[in-house]
Amino acid sequence: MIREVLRYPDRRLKLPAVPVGAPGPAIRRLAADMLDTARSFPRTVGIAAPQVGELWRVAYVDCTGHKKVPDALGPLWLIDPVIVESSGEEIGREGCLSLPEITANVRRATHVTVDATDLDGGRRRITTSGFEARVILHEMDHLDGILILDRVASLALDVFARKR
Amino acid sequence: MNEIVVTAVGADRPGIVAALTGALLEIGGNLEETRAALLRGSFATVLAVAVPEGTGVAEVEAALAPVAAELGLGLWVGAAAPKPAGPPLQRCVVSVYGADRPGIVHGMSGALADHGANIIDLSARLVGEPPIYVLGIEIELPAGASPSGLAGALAPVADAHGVELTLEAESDEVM
Repeated sequence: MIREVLRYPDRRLKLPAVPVGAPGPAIRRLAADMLDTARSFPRTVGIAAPQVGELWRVAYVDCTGHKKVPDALGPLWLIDPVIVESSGEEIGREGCLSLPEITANVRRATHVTVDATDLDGGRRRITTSGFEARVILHEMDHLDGILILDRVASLALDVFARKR
Repeated sequence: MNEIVVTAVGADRPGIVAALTGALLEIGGNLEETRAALLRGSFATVLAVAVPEGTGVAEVEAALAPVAAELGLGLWVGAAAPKPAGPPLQRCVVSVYGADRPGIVHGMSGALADHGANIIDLSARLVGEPPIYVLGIEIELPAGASPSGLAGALAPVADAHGVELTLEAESDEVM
């Protein structure tokens, strides 16, 4: 089911989400809704549960077919994700479903290793770099109530109006 | 509401924005978009302000004139131009840097105009020692034009001015 995507200034986007533990039927239903919702918007590469108003630590990333990610890992479920290692840094432009009118330049690690629970309950280690790492870090920020506007060096210079 | 644009420029000092916005607030104005910059010692601001029906350019100018006179600002007040209509256009950021020399901005902006690209934001300054001229331009491409095509057209202009140039299309993916 396609859910409504919260837009800032909805305060729920600024709240930390709670850990899931072992994903049960409710989380799997939430995951299905997140997938439907992400697919309902063009060019969506990720979504986090707080964006549909559910304060669980669940995020979804899929950069498959994206020109910046020729070797994408495919659809990734990130439940209770934890950064194990990160290195490098690079500034890149990001757009967010919850801030649809803007894009912003955000500094992120270029290489990241994350431990996360998959929908089947197994704990996995994910190592990636570049744009896919950026998307993972963006979605993980949503689980802590952090938006791209919290990450820019300068609200004056690093935030841009989207195409009118 | 009437849409009015105000520009004010003058020698920088604390309180310019506070004085201008205070006078606009007094006549029921609501700031919609505001930009300001300090260029060397000169402060410049552009304010797009919505004012109540019945308040026009003359009333806004009358409200701001005493402030401008007191602060020594050059003031211009006019009706806002209509917002552009039509389908969204591809946006790109053009980044240029190199040794300072006359004609870089003109060369780049001329080449952009020749290709129908519309400048929507521009900032240029000298940084560091020895000074490096850095120029950032955000543009909208004409419908049907490609970022790579424009980048190819700009490359010889950059070469002629001895500067480095990159053109990056605004990404449209969302997270």
